[in-house]
Amino acid sequence: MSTWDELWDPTYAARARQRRPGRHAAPPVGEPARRTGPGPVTEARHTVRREVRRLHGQALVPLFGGYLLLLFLCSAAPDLLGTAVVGGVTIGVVLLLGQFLLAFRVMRLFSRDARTRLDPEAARLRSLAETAAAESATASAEAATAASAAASAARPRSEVGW
Amino acid sequence: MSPAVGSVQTVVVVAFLVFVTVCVLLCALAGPDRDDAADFYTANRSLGTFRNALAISGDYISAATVLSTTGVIALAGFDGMMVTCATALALLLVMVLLAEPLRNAGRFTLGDVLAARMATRQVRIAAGVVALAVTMPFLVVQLSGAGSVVAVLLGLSGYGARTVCVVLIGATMVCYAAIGGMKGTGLVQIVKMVIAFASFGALALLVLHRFEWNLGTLLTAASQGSGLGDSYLRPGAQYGSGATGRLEFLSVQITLVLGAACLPHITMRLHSAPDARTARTSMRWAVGITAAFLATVVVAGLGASALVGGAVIRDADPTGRISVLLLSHTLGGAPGTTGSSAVIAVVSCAVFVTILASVAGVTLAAACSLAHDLYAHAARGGGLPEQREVAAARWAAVGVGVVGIVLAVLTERWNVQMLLSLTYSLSASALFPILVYSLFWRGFTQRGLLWTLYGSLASVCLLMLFSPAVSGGPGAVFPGVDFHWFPLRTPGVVTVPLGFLLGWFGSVQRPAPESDVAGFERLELRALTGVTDSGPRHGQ
Repeated sequence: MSTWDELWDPTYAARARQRRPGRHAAPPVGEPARRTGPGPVTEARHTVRREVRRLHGQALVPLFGGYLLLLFLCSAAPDLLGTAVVGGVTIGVVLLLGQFLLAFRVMRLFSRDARTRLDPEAARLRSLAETAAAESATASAEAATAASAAASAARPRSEVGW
Repeated sequence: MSPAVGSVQTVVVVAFLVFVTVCVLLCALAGPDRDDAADFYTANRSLGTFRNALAISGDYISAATVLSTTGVIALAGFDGMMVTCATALALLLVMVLLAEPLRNAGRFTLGDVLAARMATRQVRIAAGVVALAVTMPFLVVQLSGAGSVVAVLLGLSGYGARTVCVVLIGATMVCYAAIGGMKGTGLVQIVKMVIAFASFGALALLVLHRFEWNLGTLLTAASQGSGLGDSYLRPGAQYGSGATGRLEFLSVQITLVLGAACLPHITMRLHSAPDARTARTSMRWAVGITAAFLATVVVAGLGASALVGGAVIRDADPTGRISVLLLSHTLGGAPGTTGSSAVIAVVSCAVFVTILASVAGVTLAAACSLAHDLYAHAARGGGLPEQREVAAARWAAVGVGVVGIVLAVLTERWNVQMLLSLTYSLSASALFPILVYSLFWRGFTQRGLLWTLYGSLASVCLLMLFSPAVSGGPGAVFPGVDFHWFPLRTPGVVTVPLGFLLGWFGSVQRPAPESDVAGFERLELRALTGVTDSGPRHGQ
């Protein structure tokens, strides 16, 4: 997701455009996809990446939300956390137990969704990537020499700072 | 300890010897039977899901975790419970964020993961240096704690006895790591986890039985026993409720959550899962086992405060590390009875086994980064035959162990608890940012990586040197002098954001070289699927 990269790195978008001119452009209509368009491997990779990000958000937001709330209360309202509810059990202890239960629930959901949503996509990407690698392996000898030539040509340009 | 427990000590010594013998046998039988690097570093990915989970939680629950956490709960109540919360959360963070990509992308060590993206010598060296900087203090603190606790267990006193204990434990564990490799130490961790879980579970049940299975009664009794009254269950008992105390608490929590998540001996265990899905399932079990174990630790800590009393615990050891041993002396009934002796023996064995196993795990992790990252890849360019690399790893384990033992003996008279916070701070401020950036940020460059690694190393060491943990206080390494100006004992609240900032700034300050961007594509594909691309097989 390029927004994430842009958030961290203001120069990312410009460099990405410079690097891969075909990536943000729509593939020409009516023609078979060229080498510059997003191939099936790239698309599968985007799908897997999206699933991973979704899983991360779904697990980490409640987990760290609860935890940060607890930390905040610890420094902002220690007396509140020390208030007894039933017998010797305080609000702080109840919240801690709640945090543990939340963690278990998050873990269960994460495992389930990773199994049902991420694993099939990752398997698809793997087989696509392996097929692509096998296809390119035949042409790899010429490609390797060409790539190293291109890389050595590109290096001086890319090291020009701002 | 009271001298009336002589017969118990015999039982404990016999149990130690049995455990040591069994572990040597296990290591010799299960250890890598040929000089195969994959066998030595990852046990050929042959441990099953559940055994791997036990090994992960065994590695995760170090002696310091068990003993210090029980002590903090006994002495500071709610603050200690927050420590267990952070400990459990850190493992969940590993499961969600790191387990699968690290399993997929790395071969043996963290350096492999980083080299999958930036296969240069500087990155290998930096990865190896930081891994050693994180593991060595951890090893020293485990060994040093081991020395004092085992001396107490065996009823010995004086520095000479401690030195002997440190040397013996260290030598045994170095043998395990060198002979058994990943599988051997894994089995040691499994045995340790079973023993520790069984005995802490029994301890917790005994405590709960005393308080009629009522958590409220236990909490009330613990508050009374601690001598702190109501503030025992209020945040702030450990560091005070002033501004510095609150900041310290926050800093410790952040450092613990992020630092424990990427300690090298934990992340190394992930590589020994056969595939990403198994790594995930293993982590799920490991989190469950760890959480259950931490629950028994909480009950034991509260029980220690309620039954032994805060004043007695603080008298025996200001950090409360031997509170669980003190608890075992009061739980089994009148001193000298069979019940009392049994409880003491069982708990002592659990503590001893935990200490031994944590030393072995950390030694192996340090040896692996030394042999694999620094020697095989940085010094020899990666072309080392496997047989020679395994031999190097075995010798590295011996070397790391000897250095650890020597340091632990030399620092015997000092309070080395600050090394624990040094380890966690380094891990949180150097390893966590680079792992997150490497795995998830396309624009990260080698420059940013080196800035974060060395910058965090410098900032953590500098701030710790001038913190109250080193000088100017009763609990400091050098209590006699005072040159501290930094107010916090754990600098994480400053150094973690600084580590992230350095990595970001180092990366965006110059345009990313094409090779780093291509490296991201390569690493991401590998992290998502586990395929190794058509390039050189494993980095370099």
